[in-house]
Amino acid sequence: MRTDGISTLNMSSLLRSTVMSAQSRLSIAQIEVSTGRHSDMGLTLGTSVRTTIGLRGELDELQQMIDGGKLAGIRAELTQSAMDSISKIASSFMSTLTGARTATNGQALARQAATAAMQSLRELLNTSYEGQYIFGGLNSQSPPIPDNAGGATVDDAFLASFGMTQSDATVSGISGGDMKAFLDGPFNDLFSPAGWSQNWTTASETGVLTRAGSFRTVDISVSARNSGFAGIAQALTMAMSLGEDKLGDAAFEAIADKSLSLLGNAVIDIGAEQSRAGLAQSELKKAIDHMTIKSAALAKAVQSLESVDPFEAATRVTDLMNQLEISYTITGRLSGLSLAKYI
Amino acid sequence: MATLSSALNYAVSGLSVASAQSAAAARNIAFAQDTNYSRRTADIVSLPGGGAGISAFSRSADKLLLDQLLAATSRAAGRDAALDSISRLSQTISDPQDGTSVAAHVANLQVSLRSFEADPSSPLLASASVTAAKSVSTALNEASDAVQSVRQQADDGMAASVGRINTLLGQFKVANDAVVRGSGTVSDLADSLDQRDRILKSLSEELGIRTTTRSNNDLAIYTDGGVTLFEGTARKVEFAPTAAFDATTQGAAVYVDGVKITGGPSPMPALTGKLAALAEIRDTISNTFQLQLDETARGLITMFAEKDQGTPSALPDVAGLFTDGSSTALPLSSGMPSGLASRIRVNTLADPATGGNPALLRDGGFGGPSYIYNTAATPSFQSRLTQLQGSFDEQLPFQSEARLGTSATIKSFSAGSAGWIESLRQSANMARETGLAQKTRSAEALSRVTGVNIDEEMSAILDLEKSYQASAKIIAAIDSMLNSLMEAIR
Repeated sequence: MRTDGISTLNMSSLLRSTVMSAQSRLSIAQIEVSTGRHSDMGLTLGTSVRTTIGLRGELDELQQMIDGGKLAGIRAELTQSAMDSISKIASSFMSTLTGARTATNGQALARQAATAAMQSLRELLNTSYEGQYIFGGLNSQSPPIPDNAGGATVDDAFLASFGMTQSDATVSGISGGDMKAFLDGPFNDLFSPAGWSQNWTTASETGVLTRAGSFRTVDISVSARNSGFAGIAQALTMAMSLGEDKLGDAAFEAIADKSLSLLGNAVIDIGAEQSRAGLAQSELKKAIDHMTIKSAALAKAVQSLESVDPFEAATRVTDLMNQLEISYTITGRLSGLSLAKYI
Repeated sequence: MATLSSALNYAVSGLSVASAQSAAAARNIAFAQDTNYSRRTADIVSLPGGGAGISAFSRSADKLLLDQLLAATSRAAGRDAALDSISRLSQTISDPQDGTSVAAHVANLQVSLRSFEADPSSPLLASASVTAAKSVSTALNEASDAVQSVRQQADDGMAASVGRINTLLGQFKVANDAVVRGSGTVSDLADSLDQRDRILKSLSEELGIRTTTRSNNDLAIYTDGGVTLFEGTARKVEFAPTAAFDATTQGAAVYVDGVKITGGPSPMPALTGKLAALAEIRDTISNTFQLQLDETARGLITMFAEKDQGTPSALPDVAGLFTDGSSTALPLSSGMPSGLASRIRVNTLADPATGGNPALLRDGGFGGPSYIYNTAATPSFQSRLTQLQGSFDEQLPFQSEARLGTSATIKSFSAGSAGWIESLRQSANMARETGLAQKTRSAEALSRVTGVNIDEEMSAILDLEKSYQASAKIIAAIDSMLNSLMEAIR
């Protein structure tokens, strides 16, 4: 029995298997050097595959929320600038009206300015971005202030209260008191929250919420239903269409007074809404910043799980190549080493 | 009294012994590369009338080392087969970077829903969500198909293995009979013994075996679970292959001599070898993985189910975006794989490819008008989508038989399933490497004892050459001595 000996077959198969295993490990090391990642994730990570799959899913979610948040941010900027413009329109009309109140052709002046302002207001409230009307609330597919909004109902209310149409020559006979009663009563009802949504706007009260986290949304949208917009529209409509320049001074003064007080309140309302949306917007921005940091951390975690140390992998390639070379040399030498050569 | 003629006898017998030993060495060299060959040596004995002769060719063997090799072979073969099948199951996961796993598709569906939620009026995003949902159902269908094809292949492998075992046992009978018949006679049994060992090595790949040597060198074979495979005659190994597998198909068991050894609960189960490993793949691992896929599918169908929106709600919940085939009923849970993962579909009512309307995802109403959530037909209706995307982060009940806990979100459950199969693969791979190393070591140890070293044979030949020359010289010397004697007489 030769327990210390070795069979010829053993010796050659040993060399063969050494070379083969070195070659297969070399091919793995080469892949890892070139990609910087483990060549076979499942085999290397085992159970931790669930972690990297989970992390990658979370990364995608964060990216989507960050992108969505940024898009919503643009919409919010548009909303804010439109509201700024609307406030300016209201303020400039206020100064026009203050002057026109006592001017001789005041009614005509006010009417002209109001018509232009009304047009701008409508245009601004109908601002759309990427096919969505930003003041439309959930009814984002139709302009919040349609072309036919309001007009007829004002005429009807006027006729019902005074028994004459607005173009009637006798409107000049309406007293200041009567006009005030009309403005505070039936006309005011047209712009009450219920009246505004029924007669003027198709927007919905609530808007599209923006996601600021897996379990959290913020409301950065502003709806055309806001009472500030209603107030401005009310003030402009008074000056624009009531009486068609033929009112008496007392009636016009009543209109101007009411209009000025409405505009003042509306600007305050709009300001309040702007700051509410602005707060939500800054909250969203903070959430985006937070998510960006989190996403970087997650990306690092994924990398630490999936990556190989490039230096280690490169060293491994060198080592294996040396090992292979030695194996080849030994195989060559050993094959020459046979007793048969010497006898 | 020693004479010249007896010297001549010895010299002549020396020649024949040298030739016989050369023949043994030549034979050893010829078979040097055969792993199943055992080295032969010519045994020398004194012949009764003087001179030396060859009594038999003895064969190097070591039963202990052979038994070790057989056991290591069974383990290695079993682990090899297991790893192979598990690797095929894990191909449904692939590299996490590729995002081809069911878990990645599920996570992607939530992301799509969130994009849609941010802009509910967009028909483009509605279609994108439905497409993402289709990727989920397709991934589940494909994974389920892969599992069943692994089971099919395991079953085919078992059938092939059983066939091979029966053939080997038949061959073993022939070799064993030759050994038993020849024992106690002078015939050369080495070839038959080699043949017997070769068959045992092949047999141990298929099934873990133990052997016992009995009188007349008769060998009996038992499975590692203790069932008789061969005792004088070969026992029948029986197995009925299954033609086609779906998730609910039960594979048949393997019987040896009427005793169930694998493929179901057995009193004497086979422990190692390819057959046992394939049965475990077919009946345990694949079924658990299938159940995990089925549970994922059930979770998805439940998450997207719709409730009757009437007050009070009287109608039962119905399937929404995902359906069990064409049925709108919600699937029930049971501890067994139901194949739900192979049947899950995206509701045709939502699929633009079948004339469906993706906006149903936002509005509800898969189950009919009573199930419409967006009753006012608001274009940017958001709350249903908010609810749906939120359900991905809610804990759902799962069956404990799926071995992933009883409560998890759909995302962590499906990722857990990927982790489960990959951890199996990792440990199977490690086990395989250890098994392979053990087998290599056992084979080396046996080969040290029974293998041929050509250099050793060559040096033996040198010695033989010398003793042959010496014998020949002696004959020549005796010849010349006899000649001198003859000269003196003449």
